[in-house]
Amino acid sequence: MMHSVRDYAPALKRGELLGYHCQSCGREWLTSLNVCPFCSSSKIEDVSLPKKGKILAYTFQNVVPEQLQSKAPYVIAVIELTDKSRIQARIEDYMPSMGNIIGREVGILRGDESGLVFRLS
Amino acid sequence: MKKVYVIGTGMTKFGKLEKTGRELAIEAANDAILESGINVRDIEATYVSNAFGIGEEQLHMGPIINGSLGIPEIPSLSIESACSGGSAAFNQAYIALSGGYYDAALVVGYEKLSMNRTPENTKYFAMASDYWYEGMNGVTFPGLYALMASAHMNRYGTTEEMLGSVSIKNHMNGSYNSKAHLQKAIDMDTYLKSPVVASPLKLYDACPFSDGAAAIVLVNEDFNIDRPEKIEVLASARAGSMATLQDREELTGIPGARIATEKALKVSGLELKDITFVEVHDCFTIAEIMALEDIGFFPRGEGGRASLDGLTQFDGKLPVNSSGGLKAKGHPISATGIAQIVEIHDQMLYKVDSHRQVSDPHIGLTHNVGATGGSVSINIFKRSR
Repeated sequence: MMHSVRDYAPALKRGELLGYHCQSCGREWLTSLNVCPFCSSSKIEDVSLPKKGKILAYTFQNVVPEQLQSKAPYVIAVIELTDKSRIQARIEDYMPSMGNIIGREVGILRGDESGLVFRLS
Repeated sequence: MKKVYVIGTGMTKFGKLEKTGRELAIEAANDAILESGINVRDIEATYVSNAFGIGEEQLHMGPIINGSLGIPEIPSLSIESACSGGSAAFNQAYIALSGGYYDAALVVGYEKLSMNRTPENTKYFAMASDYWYEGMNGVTFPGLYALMASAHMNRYGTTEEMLGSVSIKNHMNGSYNSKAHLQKAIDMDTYLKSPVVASPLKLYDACPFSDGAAAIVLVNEDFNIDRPEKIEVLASARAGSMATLQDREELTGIPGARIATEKALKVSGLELKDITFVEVHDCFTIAEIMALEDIGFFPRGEGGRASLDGLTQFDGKLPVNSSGGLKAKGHPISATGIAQIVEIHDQMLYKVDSHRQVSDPHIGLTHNVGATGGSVSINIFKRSR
């Protein structure tokens, strides 16, 4: 049984990155889709995605949505996890003095109703 | 397929406007019909695009527009495709006319956002992303384009000055467009000192939230029109990309733009070198650079350099966004795709200010993107005698 997109946030609170695994091509990903985005197979199952990866792109946001006003400013990054799946997350311990952080390794810190948070490792 | 022509256009001023969405849409529609010179009773269908009408508590604007034009009996279709809704509506009308189902149609796009506070608009815009996997983590719409800019700069060495050159050019063109939201030229120093919204993107990398409407009247070859010059639609192609940014193989471009361009070139029988000027979707400066690379006018990674070297100015090798683009002309979401076509039309008929009139407005292309590229439209037009 595959999880629903509604199960994603509760899983995050348990510290689990609930994703999908394709039984046909072996690829993994996070986004709720009913077929494999890589090979179109519908033989997919739930998987806990790895909790480490590296930064592919990032932005330091000064202007943020209302519900996250108290956390501003913060970094949002596209992260490639060790299984090649990709996610977006906030990076909590970034300082502008660090310069370019593309390629830096990161690990999951927590997930809650305000989304997914990683830290530089 | 039957030939399809743009025979009338209407566009309101873009900006923070007093008028309601309803008044703006009707004004643009009426102006397009007047310019076309046709009898309003010859219009057989209306295609209306709007994204955030819920902010005015008004959806289903088509019948209201038709009623105000005195043609309440004709059908209307409401279309939403994020920031590319205007060209999606145009494309639907084109399909109906080229297939001969209708001979004359009206296309209207409008948006009214200025009564909302910025956080509300930011929230609405984020709804066009993949909420669970993007918006919920706190990324904003500028943030998503900033991620693409980050990847582009890291991979190709695109610089702040290159991004700035796009903004400066579009502000210069917009300063000669009496309907533009921002009619003010800026210099590099002003650009570089503007506050960072989402690094590397600054205030002057971003288009404004605008109110406004645009409309066009389209007819096919069976509709008897007699005029010396015609603006023919050579292609109207749409394509898509994965909605979620990180699920695309490459962050440095928009795959749907490449696919839509290939389709449009194939249908029109043209090559890129035949295109003499373009209006592209520069919601952020990086988007214009990626657009020019996705379409193929410049090799990957060289769009920024081309802009810095002045190749995309209105009198350059390839005039890009002579209207001022979304950056300066403004971006009333669902009006944008139609406003791009209005610019192509006005350039082809030499109706724009001489300070931004391109020298050979013979074959024009429009590129309009919904959200971060989930939807993309490419249209090609030719002036024929």
